[in-house]
This record gives sequence, structure tokens and C-alpha cells, in this order.
Amino acid sequence: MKRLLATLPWLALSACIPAARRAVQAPSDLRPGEVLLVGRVKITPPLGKEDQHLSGMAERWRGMTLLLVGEAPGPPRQPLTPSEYRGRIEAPLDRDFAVAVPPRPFYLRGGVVHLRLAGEVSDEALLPGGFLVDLRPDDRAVYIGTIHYHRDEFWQITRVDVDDEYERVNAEHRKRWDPAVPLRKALVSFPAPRPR
Amino acid sequence: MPTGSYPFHAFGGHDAFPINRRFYTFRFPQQHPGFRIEEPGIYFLGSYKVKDTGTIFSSNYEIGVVSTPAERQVLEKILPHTQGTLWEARLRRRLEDLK
Repeated sequence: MKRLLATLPWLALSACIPAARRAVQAPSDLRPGEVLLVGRVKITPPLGKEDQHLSGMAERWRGMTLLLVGEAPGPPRQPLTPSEYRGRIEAPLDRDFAVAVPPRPFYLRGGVVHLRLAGEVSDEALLPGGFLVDLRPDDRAVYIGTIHYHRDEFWQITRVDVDDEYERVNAEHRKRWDPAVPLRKALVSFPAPRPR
Repeated sequence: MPTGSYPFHAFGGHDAFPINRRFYTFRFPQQHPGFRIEEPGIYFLGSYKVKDTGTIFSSNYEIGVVSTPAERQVLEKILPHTQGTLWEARLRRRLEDLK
């Protein structure tokens, strides 16, 4: 059975969505014990300008995928509730994200691209997850790769690749951040292996 | 219909109550398999049934594939309306294929 669109008061709910992982703009943004996590999400073909109908507070999610995280790899429950968004990574599509995370392994359970959050109707495309982000206690900065989703015209995900752009990202990292803080490459794999 | 890709967008209808008739429209999610017409022909998209799984506080509807009416039943119903047109022969050929 396929769920038809729910008429949830989503705009009201969006006001009580839990906080996202903190985006990090400068080394001084990292707090003691936090790890800099760098990666990217890409969708092919890319999101078109007319693909998203967002209004009000939801405008902040334009051109963005929300990576839902958790301690288990399972997909988020549907329909999505605000608690599923706790600690999410807000990843601008086809641009690197850099966020502060605690130094312990966690899973990227799936991605959400909001296609419509206007009026009382919500609609979103769900991207498969189950990726293990294998952080170590002594990590300072980790690169997880580009999670590259291929889709058809009906938003069915036909393939998922993890692209390695470490050379480019590391070069930018060394310019932007303290070169003394090495960026460890720890590409996520799909499906996720069990944590060590 | 011209060849191309067609997503399911919406469907609707009236409720059955004779006095206070309301028109309902249901929208499909955009992330939903559609259909592709790649060459001319007769395409059967299947039969579907909507089920109300919500409560009085929160509406929720699901749609699923059902086995009837099957393609053959649908074509047999349409056939009398195609008499004397190009479609009549095509439908008869398709019905032969389905035997």
C-alpha cells in the first residue's frame, strides 16, 4: 500500500523541529571533544528550481537534503515526526557540508528532500541510508565522501555511489583549517558494516 | 496520449451522501512510480483501491493495487463503445492476446 499525501499542519510542526548538527565555519567553532565531519550529498539529475514548493520557515531547506542520524541503521519511521529530525545534518546539495559531531560512531539513516511544505500539504523524497559514520575517539576531522544518489523521473533511487573526492576536500581543508589537524578519510559504505 | 513519462498526480471524486456532497482530491507523493509510454499501443495501468486508515482526528489514506477489474474485463467493457473506429480492431487483437 502506498501512502497518499497527508494533510498535516507541517508548517506549525516545523517550528518545533529539534536542532540540527551545528554547521562549522571556522576552527574556533569546534568545542572541546567535537569532531569536524566533512562530506557531500549529490543527486543526479540535480534538483530543479521548480521541484520544491516551500514557504515560511521551510524556505531554509531549499536546495538541501536533511540527513537523519541515529545509533541504529534502520530507516526513519513514516510519516516523519519532528523527533526523527533530532541531530540531523543539513547538507546543501552538491556542496560540501562541515558540521560538529561527537567523537563516536553513528548512522546516517536516510535523507529527506522536502519537495512541498506549503499550506497544509507536505511531500518529501526519501533517500535511502544505513551508512555507518565510523568515528574514533581520537578523531579531530573526518571526511566521509560524497553520497551520490541517482534517481529517475519519478524520484525512484536507481543507484547509490560513494564518491571519493578526498584530494580536493583535503586541499581545501588544509587552506581553510589548521593544517596540523589532519583530515582522516573514512568513506561511508553502503550498506553499512557493523560498528567495531 | 503522446509518448513520455507520466507521474501519478492526483485523483478525486464525490462522496456518496446524497445531500451534502463534497468533492475530494487526493494527491500522490512525487516520489511514486509512474508509467512510461515508449511506443504506441494499449496500456493497462492496473486497478487500485483507496483505503481510509485514519481516525476522526487525523486523516490518512492509502492506495493499493487490486486484482479486479483485470485488463480483460476493462477492455470488454470499453469494446462496445469503439465499434466502427480504429480502436475496435486493436482492442480485439489485445483481447485475443489475453486469452
